[in-house]
This record gives sequence, structure tokens and C-alpha cells, in this order.
Amino acid sequence: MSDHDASCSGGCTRRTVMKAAGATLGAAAFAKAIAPLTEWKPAESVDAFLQKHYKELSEAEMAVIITRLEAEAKAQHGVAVHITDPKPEEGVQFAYALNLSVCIGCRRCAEACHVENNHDRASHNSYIRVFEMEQGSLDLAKGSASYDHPVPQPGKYYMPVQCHHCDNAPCTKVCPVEATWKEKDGIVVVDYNWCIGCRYCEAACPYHARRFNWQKPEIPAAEITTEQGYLSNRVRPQGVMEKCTFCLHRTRSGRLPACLEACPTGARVFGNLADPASEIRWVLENKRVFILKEDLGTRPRFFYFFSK
Amino acid sequence: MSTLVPARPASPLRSALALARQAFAWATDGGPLFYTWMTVLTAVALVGVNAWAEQTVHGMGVTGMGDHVSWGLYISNFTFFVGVAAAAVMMVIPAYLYHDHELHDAVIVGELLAIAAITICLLSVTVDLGRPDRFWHLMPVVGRFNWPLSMLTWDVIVLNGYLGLNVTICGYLLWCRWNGVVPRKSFYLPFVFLSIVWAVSIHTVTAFLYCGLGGRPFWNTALLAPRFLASAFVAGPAFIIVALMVLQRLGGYPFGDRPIGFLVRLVRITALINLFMLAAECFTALYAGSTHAASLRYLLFGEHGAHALVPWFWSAVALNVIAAGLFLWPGLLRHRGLLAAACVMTFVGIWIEKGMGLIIPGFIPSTLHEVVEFTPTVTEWKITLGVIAGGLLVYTLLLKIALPILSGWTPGMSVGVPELDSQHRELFTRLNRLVAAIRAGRGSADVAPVLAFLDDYTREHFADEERVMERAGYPALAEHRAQHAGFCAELVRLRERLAAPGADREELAGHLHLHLRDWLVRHIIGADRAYAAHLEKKP
Repeated sequence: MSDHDASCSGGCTRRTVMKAAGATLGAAAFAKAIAPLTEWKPAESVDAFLQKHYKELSEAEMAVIITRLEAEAKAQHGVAVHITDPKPEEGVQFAYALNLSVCIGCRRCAEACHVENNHDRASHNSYIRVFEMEQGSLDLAKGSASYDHPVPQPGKYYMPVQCHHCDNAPCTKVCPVEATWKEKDGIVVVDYNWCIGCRYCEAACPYHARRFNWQKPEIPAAEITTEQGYLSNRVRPQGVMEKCTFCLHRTRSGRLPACLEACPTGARVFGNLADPASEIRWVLENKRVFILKEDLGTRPRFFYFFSK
Repeated sequence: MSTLVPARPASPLRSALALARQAFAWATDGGPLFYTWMTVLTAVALVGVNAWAEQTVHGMGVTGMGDHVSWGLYISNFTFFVGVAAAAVMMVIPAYLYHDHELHDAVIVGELLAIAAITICLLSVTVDLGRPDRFWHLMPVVGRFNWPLSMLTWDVIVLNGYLGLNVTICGYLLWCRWNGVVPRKSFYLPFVFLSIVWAVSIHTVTAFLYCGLGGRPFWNTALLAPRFLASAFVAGPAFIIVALMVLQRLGGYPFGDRPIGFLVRLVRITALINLFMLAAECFTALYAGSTHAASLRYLLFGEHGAHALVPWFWSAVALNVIAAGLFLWPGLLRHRGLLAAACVMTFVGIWIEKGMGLIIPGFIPSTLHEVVEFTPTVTEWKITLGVIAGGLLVYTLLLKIALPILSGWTPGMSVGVPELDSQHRELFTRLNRLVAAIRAGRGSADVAPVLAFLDDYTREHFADEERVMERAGYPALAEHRAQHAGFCAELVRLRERLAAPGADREELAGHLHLHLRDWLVRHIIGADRAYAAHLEKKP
């Protein structure tokens, strides 16, 4: 015991000094390591950090949030945007159908989506991927989304793919925080202010319909679409998921999706399944319709059909 | 059980403070090798922290991931370490359920590994989040917990639960030893049973996370969970074997050959089962020749001119096959260097097989059959290595604190007489030294002095103790004397067995290490405390 103490009296102080020096050095190195975070001035306010889930917000709370978001857009992009939060209407069940016989693969739908939905310019993001397919095969493995030549090419047909707004959606099922869900009118949406960015939905989606904001989207002020929906085309924050919303800021107030309006061949049919007189009902009842990956049981609201 | 009441019942707070002080000393004291190890780990961890801070500021675009391969190195690493954490159960079952004394001490090395591995898992998932600031959305009650629908919420529950269980079990047992109290089986055994089922659940749930996705045929197989478990029971034990060898060599902790032998016998079988399942998976997918096997073909041979994962996969197969062969060889236990090499090989092999080889190909080709390859960026490697270094830091510190508590005298064993306390402490030191000498395999001529050293000291101490009791007129002196005599007789028997030709040193060391040390602990916190209480009453 005593010699243990004796051996300690000299060594311990030196050792204590060494330990203190090591701890100081470590703390300084740690401060240096997290400096990018401490020096960062993110756009997000405390209110944004504490913001509740979309479904828990009262109308008054939503009004405050929208005012905040509009002010943020003004501050960041110098643009006056108008954000609305249109709700699903009773008796409306949206669905989309695409005529493979007339699509020419011009990608104008994808381009319209890119502009309408305020996508990041550099990555040329869009919710629609157009595949150039081999005549005689429905095998996507033989298709290509990266074609770069005049269209249509002989021996090819074209198949745009976007969110199928599945009734049995794998993406909403897997979300750990209920940040994505299916609305009453059939549209699958994301609460950009609730998503934690785990990307489980992106892994679950069989249609490659979901996109992640790998960085803060960059759009020149003049190109920003200013009529924005809270759940749809407002400029998304960094690090969250996004997806096609059937342009709900347009379609919920009687307009058509941007991709449909841009289509030069009339390949796209959008409408209300609950309305027996709608064009979409007529197509689904009278045309040869097929569903992509029907075997997965996802029950999409997006259909492909042929003219004859 | 009034005899177990401490002589001076220390308040739990005082005892905890003393433990914290001692733990700090243990955790920060060591040789040059220890300081080098800790400095390197800290440096790597800090580089990782810095890279993560950059990633949080600039976005996940700094990684090699994209909308095609949307999970990469982080989730691969996560998946692998869930397996390492689950593997602790392979030692818990024999140690607690079947009272296998061989694993008595080694089991804590496995349980603490589970804690460190879960730390790595939780960190890996955190660094993969696009919005780490919103982690609270994932908490039940305050956030919106999509349970039971989302398998990720199940994973949150099982991983944190497993962490809690292991912290509770290890913490309770160490706390009892520190305070010199006999652990109550009725308290900790239910947790132990629960942790066994739970260990299987963490890997099953993690497999379900992937195999439940119908849109990803590469993962959508019922064999995934069994494969996860089989590979976990290769990689985990392999790590523990190396940890035991390092601790024995550098820390001087006498675990002996038996736990290592047990683990080698285990890996011998699990390594083969794992390879068999991989082969079964390959056959099923490739023989039918459907497009659903596209990911596997990409992994094995490359597709459409893309073959970034092919060398990874075949390296993993080669490492696992060679290691499995080495484990089958009966002589492996005698060649420690080769054993360590086999463990490292299979650990790396499974890391590739279950990470790069399982998570990445799930995304290649994409669900729309586009082939976009994945290469981790420097940032991703920095963060991944930082996370692993963080886990190793946690593991090292836990071991530095837990092992001294388990193998020596603790203040909780105090009998209130400083001289006797210091003698008790010395007894543990000499006992451990003897075990180490026997295990070192030197001739009986070398062991004899160490044994005599312990023997003399024991007799001296017992005589001192008995004198104190005599003076105080302790009524149970006769019984206490008998216990002392029993221990001395045990030492005599040990000397005879050691001298006998062909003595099984390993068995003797194990006996000494576990039975005599346990006897000493029980004797001190039982019989010795009783006389201490008597002394207290009669100053």
C-alpha cells in the first residue's frame, strides 16, 4: 500500500499533467472538427425545428407557417411566392392514364415537371423518367432512359414512368415517422418539414418515383414557379424526400397537371375516377390497359393503355 | 442474509462517485501502447466527426449515393454491426443458461462488444439521415412513430432495447461486484433470458427491413434473415476471439484457451452454414435465369459493362472460404497467429458480403432496371471509419473499467480494517499472478515460487485476520477458521496436482481462476463482512 502511494506521488502528477494536456488537446480538436456545424447559419428557424406534423397543424398554425415560408423564399431567392394548402375534395379520386401508342418520347412532360415543380436546375431533376423501349418487349431491362437522339426512333416505343400513387403504397408503409401518406383523393404526399431523410421510402418504391434532396435545390430567381402548394411544388429543403403530387396545387383547383398540358400528342389522360362521365373512366373501361409490375400488388392509380 | 450487509453501508451516491473516480482512473491509465491506440482512435473519430459536419452543412450530395443507389456505405456498415452485436448471445447462452464456467469471464467481453456494436449501428443510421436535426420525430409519443407498420420503427425498438438490456445486465453485475454484494439472480436472470431472444430479434428485424420490400427482388427472399444470423455468428465470435487474445496478451487477463476453443468450435460450423446459404441463394436465383436475378448476376459477374462490385464479392468469397477451411483444421488452436488471421479474414469477408455485397446490389439495377454504379466517396469512408473508431473507443473504455472490477478487490469488499483490506487486495493480485504463470505454460519450477508466494501470504493473512477476530471475541471464529483451513487445503491440493506428471495446466488455471477467486469474493463479502459487522459493534 505504502510503496504504491510512493510510486504514485511523482508519476501521478506528471501523468495528471499529461492527461490534462491530452484532454485539452482533444477538446480543441473536437471543437475544430465540428466547426463547419457551429459556423453554419442554416435557414431553419427555431419555429421550423419545433414545427408539428402536417396533420396536427390547425388552420391558424398553417397560416403562420406559410407566412414564414413565403418570407424565407423572399429572403433566400428574392422572389415573392404564393403558397397555398389546397385540401382534397369529397367525391374526387384522381387517376392518370398514358397512351403508349402515341407517346413519342419527346420528354416535354419531364421538362414541364422540372419547371413546374421547382426542381434543382443543375441535376436537371424531374419526377418523370421516359424510357425508350424495344418494340415487341415490355422488359424495362431492354429499355433506356438516357437516350440522346431525335425521337421517335424506328423500332422503339416510349414509356414515361412517374409516381403511381398506389392504393397499397410500399413507400407510405415503410416511413418510420408518417412523413408520407395517401390523401383522401388518392394523392401520395410528403411533409417536407417532417421527413427525416432516411430514404427508406426510396428503397421501397418499385417505380423509382421518389427523389431525395441531396443538396439544397438551386434555381435562378426568375425561373421559380411562384404559385406553390405546401405539399407539392414549393422549393424543398435540403435532406428530405420529394415526389410527384399530380400537381395538386393545380389539380385540386380544377386545372390539369403540368406534364399533361405539355404533352404534344395527347398521350396523357388525367381525371376523376369517381366521376362516371370522366375521360379517364372511359379509357379504363374501353381500352386495353396494363399496370406496371401488377404482380407486386401495389394497386397503382397510374395506368398505361394502347390506342387500339 | 444479514451477514451480507456491508460493515459500513455506504450510500449508493457515495459508492457511485467512488466508482466514477476509479473508473476514470482505470479508463485513462495505461502503457504507451494504450495511449497510442486511444490517440489513433480519437484522431480517426474526429476526422469522421469533421466529415459528418461537412456533410450536414453541404448535404448528402457529398456522398457517392444518388437516387439510384440511395443507401450506401453507412447502411452497409450498420447491417454488418447489427450482426456483431447479436453474436454476444452465443456466449450468453452457455455462460448463464448452462453455467459454463469456462465462459464466466469471457462473456462480459462479448456483452460489452454488443454495447459497442450497437453504438456503431446507431451512429451509422444517424449519419445516414438527411435531417439529423429531426431525430426527435422518430421518438415514440413526442414524434410520430409509425409502429407497427414500418419495420424501421421495429428496428428502433429492438436496437435500443438490446442496448438497454446489455447495459442493464453488465451494469448490474459490475455494480454488485463493486459494492461487494451477491447479485440477485431473480433480478438479472429475466433480463438475460430476454436478451437471448432479443439478440435474435435485432438481426431478424434488420433482415425484414430489406426482405419486406417487394420491389427489390434481390432482398425479397425468406433466406435473408437466416443468412443474416448465420453470418452474424461467424463475424461476432471471430471478433471476440481476437479481442480475448489481445486482452490476454496485452492486458494480462487470464481468460485461458477454453472460451477461445468454444468460439472456434462454434465458427467452424457457422462459417460453413453461411457459405452453404450463399450457395443456395445463388443457385435458386441463377438456375431459373429470370430477370429477377439481375442484381445477383451484376454482383457475381457484372452486367452491361458495369462490374464495380465483382472484385469485392469474389474477395469476400475467397476470404470466407479460406477462413472456413482454416477453422476446420484441428491444429488451428495451437497456432495463434494463424487463428487471428483466420478471424480477421472472415470478419472482413463478412463485412463485404453483408455490406457492399448485400445492400448495394439491391439497388443495381434500379427498380426500373437502370444500371448506375456506386463508389463511396472519401467523405463516406471518413465518416464510416470515424463511426467504427468511435465504437472501438467505447469498447476499449468499457473493458478498461469492467475487467479490473471483475478480477480484483473492490472498495465494496472492505471489512473496515485498512490492514486487512490491503491484504485482501494483495491476495487477488497474487492469485491472478499465479493463474497467469500457470497459463504461460512454464515449467513447474517456475510456477512453484509463485504458488509459494500466494501460499505464504494467504497463511499470514489468515493468521492476522483470526487474531483480530480472537481479540474481539468473535463468536463465529471456529466456523471462519474452518473456511480458512478449507482454502489452505485447496492450495495444497493444487500444489500436488501441479507437480503430478501430465497435469492439465489449462484446467488447473481455470479452476484457480474461477473457483478460488470466486471463493475469495464470496468469503470476503460473506464471512469477512460478518466479523467486520461484529468489530463495528465492539470498537
